[in-house]
Amino acid sequence: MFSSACSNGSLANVAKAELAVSTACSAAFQTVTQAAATNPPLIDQATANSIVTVLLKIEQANQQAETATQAITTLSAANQASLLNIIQPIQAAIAAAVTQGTVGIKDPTTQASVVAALTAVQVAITAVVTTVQAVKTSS
Amino acid sequence: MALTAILQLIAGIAPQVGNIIMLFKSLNADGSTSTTALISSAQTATQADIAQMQAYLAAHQGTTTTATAPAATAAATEIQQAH
Repeated sequence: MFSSACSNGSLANVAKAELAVSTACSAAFQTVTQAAATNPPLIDQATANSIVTVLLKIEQANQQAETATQAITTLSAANQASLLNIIQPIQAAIAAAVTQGTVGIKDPTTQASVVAALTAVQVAITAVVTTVQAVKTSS
Repeated sequence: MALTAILQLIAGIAPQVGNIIMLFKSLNADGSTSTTALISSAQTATQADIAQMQAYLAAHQGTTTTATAPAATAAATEIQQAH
């Protein structure tokens, strides 16, 4: 249990941002897999798999960030750096997925909806980074 | 409604009910959600997403469907109808 942990109110904002990443990833996953499941498919399976792989990596990083957030009571400078080290690398991955991963999607409507879904993930991740950076650390 | 259908219905809503109960239990006196509950909700959602994505990739690795452009699809349909 971690009932005594995370008493710092500012950590609530970090947790909210991490939850938003999960929600956005889930929405993007649904968009991509539904487009790949149509007959004929609106997204080829290789493209769908590559985007889902990126989303999975983001969620795995998010899980690490959540575990780190759970374990701390206050956001010290060291904790802040640890969280950013987990989250910041996936910012680049999602940016690449938005620009490169959607190039192969031929249907413009599908491409627009996948880009929108991935952009929502990007916004959510950026919010985590911004939130962590904005917190005044305890040391 | 058949018993099986009722049980399936209950099984379907059980996780959501569990999440709602957990959320209510964790509400602070002032009505705000505690950080602990927020993290717990985030972890639950993330874990579910990871399992779903891993299952999807496991089921579709090696699958090579090819998306068809809308124009090509329409043309193919027209050709099929013409024949």
